[in-house]
Amino acid sequence: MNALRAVFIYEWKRSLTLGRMGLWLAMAAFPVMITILIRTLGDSENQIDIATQKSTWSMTLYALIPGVCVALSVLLTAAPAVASELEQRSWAYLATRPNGIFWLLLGKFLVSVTWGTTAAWLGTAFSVALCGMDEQLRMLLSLSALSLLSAIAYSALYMLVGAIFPKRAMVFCMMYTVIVELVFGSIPAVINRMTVQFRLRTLFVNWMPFDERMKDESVFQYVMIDGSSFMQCFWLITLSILFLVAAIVVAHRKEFTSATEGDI
Amino acid sequence: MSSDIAIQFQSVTKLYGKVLGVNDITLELPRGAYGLLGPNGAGKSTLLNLLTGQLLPTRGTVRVLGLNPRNNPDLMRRIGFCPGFEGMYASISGLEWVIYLLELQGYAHRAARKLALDCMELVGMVEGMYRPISSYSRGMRQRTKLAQAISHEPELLILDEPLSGLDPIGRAQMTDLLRNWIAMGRSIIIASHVLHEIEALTQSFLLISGGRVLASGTAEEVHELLFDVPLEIYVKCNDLRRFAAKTLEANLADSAKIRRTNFGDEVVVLSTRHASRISSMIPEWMKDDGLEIYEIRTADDSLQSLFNSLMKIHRGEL
Repeated sequence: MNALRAVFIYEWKRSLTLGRMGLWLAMAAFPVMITILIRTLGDSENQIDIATQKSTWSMTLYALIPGVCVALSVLLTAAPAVASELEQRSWAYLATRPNGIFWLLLGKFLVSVTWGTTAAWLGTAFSVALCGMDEQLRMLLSLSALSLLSAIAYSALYMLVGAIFPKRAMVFCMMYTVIVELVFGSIPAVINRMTVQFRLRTLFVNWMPFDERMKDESVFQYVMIDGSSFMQCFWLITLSILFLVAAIVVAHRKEFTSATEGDI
Repeated sequence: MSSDIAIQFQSVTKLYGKVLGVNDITLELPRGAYGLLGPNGAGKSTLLNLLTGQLLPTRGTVRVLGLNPRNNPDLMRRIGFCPGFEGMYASISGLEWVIYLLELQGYAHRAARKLALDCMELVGMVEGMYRPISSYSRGMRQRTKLAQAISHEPELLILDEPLSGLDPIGRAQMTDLLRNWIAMGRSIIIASHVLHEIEALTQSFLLISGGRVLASGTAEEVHELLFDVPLEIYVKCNDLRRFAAKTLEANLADSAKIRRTNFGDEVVVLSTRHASRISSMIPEWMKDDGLEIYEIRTADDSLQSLFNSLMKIHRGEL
């Protein structure tokens, strides 16, 4: 555990540079700015009922916070977990420590989760306060929990993609997110149940203030499941563990050396 | 395998796609100090990466201290590795870097800090250890790299070009440090392409080129290997012309020249493939012809001459 603690503390210290803190703040500010824009530029003449307004705000904040804010935050931290060590040629020092790769990836995973979640929580606090809806505590708690689950799942997923394709980690992570999470995740077929988005969406409908009438619309029948929240959490955690274990196995099995061709 | 064996390669080949890293290497090295010599691209780094388990052999087996090095935490506790490249985190201090790696080794923070401080002192890095690595000179970086390799007191130290970038004083200090390390009975393998670096530390070495181990053993053993390959031999005696004539008459030399050395002496320079036969004939010539031999030596008696000759043999030039 000394090794895990060391990686976690060191990676967090690294995150406290001016540039990285700026990024973290930008991630937290993103949903807040959009909320302010919607509130400022929204069409107040076109009155809609409260239930629909609440559902619309719930969907918007869900898309902005556990969706964009968390996914982007963990993309920046988890995807280059392997690549950054290879690029700065520090891999050899870490790989020649007892279980060094295991502790490195686990530590970076925890940093990614905490980095993404804290940015999301800050964004949630301000966005919920600014959206002007009632049931703010419910929204706050639900979005915070969804952000945490989203950060865990996407950190593990991006770590796996980053371990498989270290040279273009971020590009492949983006491609995976768009193709699998967004496209496949929205296809009304069994395949969408294999995505993180499907589970998060179901939790979102279960936890957030949401118009019950909308749940009956056919599209919602296919892109989420009428299941218990416990089962969705179970599947999300299971998927995350699988992704993380796979990332560690891939990193162990691959022959990453910092040697260049000339170093043969 | 005996626990006295530090390194064992059994028919090890490593291919990078179609590029050969090392080629069918079989060797067994008891615990001790070894120099791994070879030009750039010879396969030294591949060999070290195989030893540290970062690479998996395409064919054959590697054992280090009796263990498979690939993903083996038990072995990683017992070895220290100093790579040939830098790769340290530039934004933190040398002390923090060594502490971080000791913590990854499993030490608690306090113990890691104490060990790191001791080690930084040992490598002469007390003054700069709190500064960020980015501000270090090449020599300071080398010392820090060495500190992280020896800080957990490994049984086997694997060093890739450890003296590269050090100034003469630093080089001498580091050589002393490594000599002390060897004197404590710990094993060490040092890769270098600078011969005198190795000569100052050990007389046991491996010569590697083109992914093959060309020769191994002590300097004397390799000299024996070379005894019957073309060599230039300098002979100082009382009758240079007579000695030259004797070797040519006996067809033991391809050519014989009389040359004046920088010190004003005259010597016979023989180009011969039969050095061992010449040496066996000398007592007879001394007895029969009254020759007095004062000195016999090869043109360059350093490791460099061995290395150059082996390279020529390997390339088919000899």
